[in-house]
Amino acid sequence: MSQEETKKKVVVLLNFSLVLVSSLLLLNLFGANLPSIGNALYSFDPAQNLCLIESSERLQSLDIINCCDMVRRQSICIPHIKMTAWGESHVECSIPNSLFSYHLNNKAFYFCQEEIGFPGIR
Amino acid sequence: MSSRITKRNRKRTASKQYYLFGSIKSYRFQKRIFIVLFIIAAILGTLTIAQARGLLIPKQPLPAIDGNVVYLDSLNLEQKIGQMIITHGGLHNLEPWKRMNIGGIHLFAMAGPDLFKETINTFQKDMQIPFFVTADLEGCLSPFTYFRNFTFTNKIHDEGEAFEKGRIEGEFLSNLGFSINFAPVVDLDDQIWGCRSFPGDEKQIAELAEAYILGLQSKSVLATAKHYPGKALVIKDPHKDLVSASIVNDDLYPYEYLAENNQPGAVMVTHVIAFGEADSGNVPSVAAVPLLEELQDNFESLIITDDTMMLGLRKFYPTVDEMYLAVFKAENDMVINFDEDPNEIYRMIQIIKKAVESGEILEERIDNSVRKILTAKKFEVR
Repeated sequence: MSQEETKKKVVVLLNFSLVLVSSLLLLNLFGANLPSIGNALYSFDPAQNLCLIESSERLQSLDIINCCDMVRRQSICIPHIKMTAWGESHVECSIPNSLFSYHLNNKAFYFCQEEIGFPGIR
Repeated sequence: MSSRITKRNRKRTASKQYYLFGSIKSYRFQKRIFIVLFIIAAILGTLTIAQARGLLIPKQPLPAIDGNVVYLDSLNLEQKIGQMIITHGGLHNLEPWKRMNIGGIHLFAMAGPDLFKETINTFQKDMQIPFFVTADLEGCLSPFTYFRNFTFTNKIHDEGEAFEKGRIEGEFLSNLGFSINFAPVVDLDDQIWGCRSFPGDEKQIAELAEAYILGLQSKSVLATAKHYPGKALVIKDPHKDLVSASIVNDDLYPYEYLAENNQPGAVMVTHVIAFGEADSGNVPSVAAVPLLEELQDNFESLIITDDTMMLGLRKFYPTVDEMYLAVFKAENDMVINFDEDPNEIYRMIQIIKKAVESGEILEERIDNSVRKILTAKKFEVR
């Protein structure tokens, strides 16, 4: 294969990539919601959303709507990936100098992240 | 024989030359296509980034402001609707919020007071109509826990303590540049956190809330009695998105008391579907027209929705557009929407604008709210 031929193949490949990128950018520009791997994984996770609020006095379940909202509003929360006693990983959002911490299982954490986002989480 | 070989060689050379020439020509052609595609991708990429940052949202014209006087007619419909919105005040959305003349920004937690001050100053810089700057400082739930703690609301037992709490928190918020605090909570029961409501019965709660409001507002920070009509902090079924609650007279007492005595700067309405003494008619309270009309009749305060990003409210309506229309049709003066996408906020403005232009929402109703907002921002409205 000549050198020219190799160069041509590289440019054709680049052109295909650019057509793909441009199409995605165009779709995004016109507001098409492109599916992501994260969303797919979330959809196939059979677990239930679980959010617990822990204070010095008690540990109780919080509905997912309130949970997402409050964790977001107090967005100083720093997620720590922790394992529960029964061996499941979950996200703990502890708030410095506060009596409260939130515990979200992975499903709940991704649910909140997907639905409203956690802009302040560091 | 030799002539046949020469002929074959000539043919081979010609086809080799043709092949090479065609290949070069095709390579040049592909190279040209590459340049065109690269330019297209670069333009689309730039447009996508500009759109994501809200830079494609048109900039509004400057309203006519003469000293302290705002001429309402100088604000176009988009600007008026923009004034009725409170968004999350993330600096990444500084430019679009300014372009849309958004009425208020809400700040979540930050690591230090300087960060708050810098953020607020950056937002307020060169704004003819300043943003309301709001916070959720409720005593036990606070975005300031990194550097400052306040007495818990459930630990306040007399009016003197409540006034002092309000005064201290008002001074603190005012120094940082905040103008509205989404407190006090006057729900009678906080079953979830156990610390957001004042202790005692409905009468004590109303009196303590009044004292807190006086203390806070003495430092020029508007207080917000919430969450009308009550029972917003009761334990909900974790599997349901939006719950209904039976409202009794006791739930409404703090609002009736505050309406007759010292009114807060604002009242926040919950998404709970209310029945009983306050009936939202099977829709979320925040979209219940009769409930909101009654509130407007009894209070001069700004009527503010709870966050419309809350999933319970969103999932109640078949589409988000319908939810936007419902909360604007009800007489809320300000609508909280913490969506981080500036294009979504702009889309909301466009939906309401179309509804006003088609007569679905009266412009007079929008004007009334904007007049209240501008008055609360210390302008004289003409």
